[in-house]
Amino acid sequence: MSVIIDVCSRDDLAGVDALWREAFADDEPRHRAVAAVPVKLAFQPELFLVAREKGRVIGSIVAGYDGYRGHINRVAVLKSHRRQGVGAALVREAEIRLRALGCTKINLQIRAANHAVASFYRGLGYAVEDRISMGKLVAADDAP
Amino acid sequence: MTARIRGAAPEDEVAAVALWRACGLLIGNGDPVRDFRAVRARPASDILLAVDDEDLPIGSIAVGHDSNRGWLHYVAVDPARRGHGLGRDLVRAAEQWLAARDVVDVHLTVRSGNADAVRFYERIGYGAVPSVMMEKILRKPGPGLT
Repeated sequence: MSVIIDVCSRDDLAGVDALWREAFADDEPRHRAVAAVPVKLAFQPELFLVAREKGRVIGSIVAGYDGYRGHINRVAVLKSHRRQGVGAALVREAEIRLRALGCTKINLQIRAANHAVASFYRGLGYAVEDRISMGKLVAADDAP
Repeated sequence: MTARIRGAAPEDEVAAVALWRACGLLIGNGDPVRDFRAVRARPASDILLAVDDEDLPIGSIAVGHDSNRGWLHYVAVDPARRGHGLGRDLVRAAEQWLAARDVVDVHLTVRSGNADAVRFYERIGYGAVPSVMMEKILRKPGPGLT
């Protein structure tokens, strides 16, 4: 198998959409590829990577840098192509690119019950950080 | 008490780092001076300061986004100036900063055990996100380090 890690392009939209529908079946509409890919291609596109085999998208990672911390999201590999190191290769390439931007630390969040993915990240040098994550969706009319 | 909130300038560096130290934020291995400069240097992040009548920092918040999510860091209010809503005003200013860039999904992390901080964020509309946080320190490029 010859797999290429590359920056995502507009031509990958359909492939990314299929990949994410398989990997993240319970996605909210705003996270679907058709909504999220154009946003990411407009901002830090060099941190949106795909793995391709014979031109077909088989894996993805969306990294980001908020100026303080690096973030990793949307790590996905087609079920038919797992356990071949594709996910690890995507994470490593994202780390290289984040480091080149000056990022010194990456944070990522996983679901508490997802032990398999926790051990995947441990194998890549990640450790659990004892933190409470908090979030808020700020509505457009929320602004005072 | 009303405080003005403005973007940080290079000459605020010493006062901002002193504020973070006074607020107990510098307990990790990070380099706050580097953070102050790096956050301000990039287009998608900034440091906002609440300042007193003499324009000296009494509160801070670092805000940045990766287009997907906005993140808040270095949220600090001078211990002597707490209880007047400065923290709430700083978070609100950061939310507006993000909303102006079309980012509405705002996140932050709190050290486990910091119940006061959790209560503060819950009061201003934040909820705990059930997830496990993982981290990796990226070492500087160099021989033998990949």
